[in-house]
Formats: sequence, C-alpha cells, structure tokens
Amino acid sequence: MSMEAFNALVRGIDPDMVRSTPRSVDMILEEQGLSARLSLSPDETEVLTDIFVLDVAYYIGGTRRALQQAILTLNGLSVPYTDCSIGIDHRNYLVMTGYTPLARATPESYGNALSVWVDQAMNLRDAARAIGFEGARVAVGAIAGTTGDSQ
Amino acid sequence: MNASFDIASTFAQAIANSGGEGPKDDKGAALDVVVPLDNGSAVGLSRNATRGAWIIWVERDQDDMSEEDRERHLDSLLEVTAISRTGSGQMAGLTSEGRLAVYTRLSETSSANQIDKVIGANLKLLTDVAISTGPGPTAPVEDDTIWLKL
Repeated sequence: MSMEAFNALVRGIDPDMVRSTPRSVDMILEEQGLSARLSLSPDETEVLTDIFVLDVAYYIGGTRRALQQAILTLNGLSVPYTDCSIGIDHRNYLVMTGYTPLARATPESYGNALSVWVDQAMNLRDAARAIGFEGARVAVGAIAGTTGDSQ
Repeated sequence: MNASFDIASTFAQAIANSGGEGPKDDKGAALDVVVPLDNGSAVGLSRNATRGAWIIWVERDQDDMSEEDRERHLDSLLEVTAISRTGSGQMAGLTSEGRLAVYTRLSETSSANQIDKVIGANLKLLTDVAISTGPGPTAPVEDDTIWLKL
C-alpha cells in the first residue's frame, strides 16, 4: 500500500519522471543548478528528499571548521521547528534532507514543501560558498616588512 | 492514554531505570526536558512541532578535544547525519547552549529498552573520536549497553 502511495505521488508530481531505483527518483533542478533524489523511507512511512547542495571536498582547515560549525548550528536550530537536516555525505557533498509523511503527502503539498527546501538549499549553498571564500578577492603575497630574515 | 503520553512516560522510566532522576511535569509527563548525567553529558526529550515527532538527544561538551580531533569528529558526525537519514535518523547539531548533540526521532511505539539503546548509541557517537575519516556507527547499538556506564 505504501509503495502504491509512493508511486501515485511520483506520478502526480511528474508522470514522465524516470526511476533510478524502484524506490527512488532522481531529479535535476536545472534552473537552480541542483540535483535531488526523492525516495521512500525503509519503513515506508516517509518520503525523503535529498538535495545535493555543494561539493565541499576542498573545504579544509579553518573553512572546514567554520562550515561544520554552521551546519551544526543550523541543525540544532531546526530540530524543534522544521522537517529537514543537513549533513556531509561520503563523497563530501553537502546534503540537505527533507522529510514528508507519506500518509499526508499529495503532489501539491509535496511541491510546496520541495519549493521551500530548494530555496533553503540555495541559501545554504550561498552561505557555504561565502564560508569557503568562493568568489572572494583574496590578496596573495608578502606583506612589506614581514618576510625579511630576522638575523 | 495517548501515544504521546506513552513516549514521555517511557522516557521518564528509562531515565529512572538507569539511576537518574526521572523528568516530570505537573501531569507526570516528560516534555522538553534535559537531564544532566554524571559524566558531564545530558539527555533530553522534546517534540518537533512540524513533524509531530518526539526527539531525544544526548549532548556533551567537547572542551577536552584537540582542534584536529574535533574537526575529524565533527566530520564523522556530519557523515552519520547524511547516512542515517534513511535509517536510524541520527542528526548532529549544536544546542542553544553551544553543546554538541546527537538527535534521534522516536517512533510512537518506542519502548524503554529501545530508548536506552538510542541514548547509548548517541552517547557513543559523541564520546568516540573518529580514528579514520570513515563514518561512525549509523544505527543504535544492538548489544545491551548500559548507557550510564559509558
């Protein structure tokens, strides 16, 4: 029954979506430059939506620690109020996961939730890029008077 | 008796069985409570307003870790968060006091024994510093760990 409900939901969202597995569908959100995976939870009570936000493999040292701190803070803040979590998967991808109870999911309600998560994912990507100094103008070179031999 | 009250009572019983003080409110139910443990950790229970799910968490200070160990540990916890979304549902985060915590959703039918195991698994995640870059455990421990002795 749960599998049927999941199939009906997927058909309702987009009849042309192609399954990546019997329990999941991959989506490309071309306009937002994101990819996502919609899947049925193992206990078949929820629809999980993984949004792959950003490759953070090159975040090392201080930027890595700042990113970790930001994610943990967001997760802690979201616990009482929202229906998503943020992690870093084994490929070093920043992943945001949204949860939808299957029993209450309709194509319309799911579409609304997905829209919110995608907005959040884009904000998260912007924040992560800012933490990683992506696009920042960083001056590289010696500061006068600091590189001379002290002897 | 509704399911929500069952979980709150079960949580209180799990704490009491483990030697801690059972959290109680005026109605005898545990709601949004934090119980400190002897080892500097604490365990709490709260209800997610959006998802209507009970959330249990274990928190501890990380002051005793070096910066490198802490970075590795947090990577491990965030990988557990990414992996366990489809299973145990463990999620790492920071509490409002800035303490590191692992949160887990409970089902409406969770027993005291299952809650004990969740607490034990989360406490282990918070205590163990990852040696490698691999992920930590992604599901509650299956043995009969007595979590207060960890």
